[in-house]
Parts: sequence; structure tokens; C-alpha cells
Amino acid sequence: MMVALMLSTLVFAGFFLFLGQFQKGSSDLGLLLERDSNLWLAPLLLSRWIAPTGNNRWDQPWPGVTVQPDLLELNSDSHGRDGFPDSQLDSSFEALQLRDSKSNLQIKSGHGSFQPVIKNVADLRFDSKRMPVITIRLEAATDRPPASFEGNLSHPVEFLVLLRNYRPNLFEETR
Amino acid sequence: MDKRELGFTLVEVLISLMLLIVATTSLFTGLGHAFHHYGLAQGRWKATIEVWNQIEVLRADPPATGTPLLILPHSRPLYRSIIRDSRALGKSGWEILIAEK
Repeated sequence: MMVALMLSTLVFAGFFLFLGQFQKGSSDLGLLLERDSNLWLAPLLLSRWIAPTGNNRWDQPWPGVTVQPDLLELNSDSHGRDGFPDSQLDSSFEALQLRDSKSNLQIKSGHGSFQPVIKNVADLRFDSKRMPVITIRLEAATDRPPASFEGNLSHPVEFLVLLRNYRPNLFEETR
Repeated sequence: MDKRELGFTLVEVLISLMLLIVATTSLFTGLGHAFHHYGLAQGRWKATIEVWNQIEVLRADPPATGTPLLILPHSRPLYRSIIRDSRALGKSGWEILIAEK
């Protein structure tokens, strides 16, 4: 009887102990996957926005690419009536600004306002040392600290986006 | 009161202990597999970014150097360049042929 009582106590204690550890482990895995989904999305998403807007702008007579450590601004008059530049940056993909604000990667396109695109951004840096390749360093963090160990789960990624001058416009642009 | 109603018998407790061990082992094995595959996916993603960056550098400044390859007589010479892929584990990676500008 005493042995059964002790063992049943052990079983209950072990059940709750292992259940707690499993819950912590699976919770931390969920944090990592959520953080990495932001990191894995960033190169694909940003390259599809940055490159089309910044192409044909680097080292050209007309300005359009401004790279600051915490702000990337791209302006390109690539679209207008009949497919030719019209000196109007109306289309959403003709004017682009990227920045880090309130732990969000925010993008402003066209005449709109800054909108959060990627959350939990710990750091965002732009570098133009290797132009025409823009170096983007993005560090993503988790929603909360890990449950099963002490430490920081922020993780960086550094990727490059090439701005090509492949299709000079037929006519000189006015802005 | 019947003696059997006082609590669990030793056999019942041993069976529940065995079930707890089996269930716990299964759960932690599954969690270990999940972390393992997460590590694999993260490694592949890092390798993908490395290749991505190599391709962008190569596109920005194609190094037309080395021994030229002539596919056809009097054609433009092509030059070999290698994209190193850490997923290839020591193999050569991707071979890119670059033409002179």
C-alpha cells in the first residue's frame, strides 16, 4: 500500500513535470518558427519591391536611390501612359521608402503612409558600400523571451539586392 | 469499506507509470524530431541566402577571367565561375558561364 502510494505520487509529479517541460519546449519552437518566418520572408519580399524601383537609377544622370543607414528611399519614373515616363511618381512601385520604426519594418509606397510589413524587427541597416548592390541587414526578434532557457533569440540575416541599369529610358527624365 | 476501494493497487500504479514513460518518451522524441528538422531547414535557408548573395555579387561584377571557353569557332569566349553552395558539402557547386562585356 505504501509503495503504491509513493509510486502514484511519483507518477503524478512526473506527469506534470514532463508536461511542463514539453509545453516550454514546444512554445520555444513556436517562437523560433514565428521569428524565422519573418526572416525567411524578408529577402523575397523586399527584393521584389526594391529591385524594380531602383533599377536604372544607380549611377545615372537622374537621381532616385538614397541609401542611409536607417532609411532606404527609391524613386523611379518607370511607369506612365503608353508605357513611357511621365514625370509623375503616382504608381505605388515608383516611390518607395523603407525604415525601421517601433520594432516594425515599415514601407511607404507612392503617396501613402508608412505601413508595417514585417514585425519584431530588432535592427535594420542599409549599406551602399558595394553599389550597385545594396546590403540589407535585418535582425528579427521573438515576441517574448524563451521559456526553457535564458538568452536572446534575435537572429540576423544579411542579404544583397542588385540594382541593374539594364534598360535606360529613351527620353531624359525631368525628375 | 472494501479494502480495494482505499486507493490504487501496486499493479495499477506500475501500469500507469509504464504508460507515463511511454507517453513522455514519445512526446520528447517528437519534439526532438521537430527541433532537428527546424535546424535542417534553418541550415538550408542560410545556405540559400549565401548563394543568393553570391549570385547578386556575380551579376553586379561578372569576373570574365581565366581560361576562355570557345563553344563555337569565332564565338564570344565564355569564362567559368563557380557559385559555392554549402549544401553541396564539398562538391563544386554551380558552374556559371560568363561572356565578355
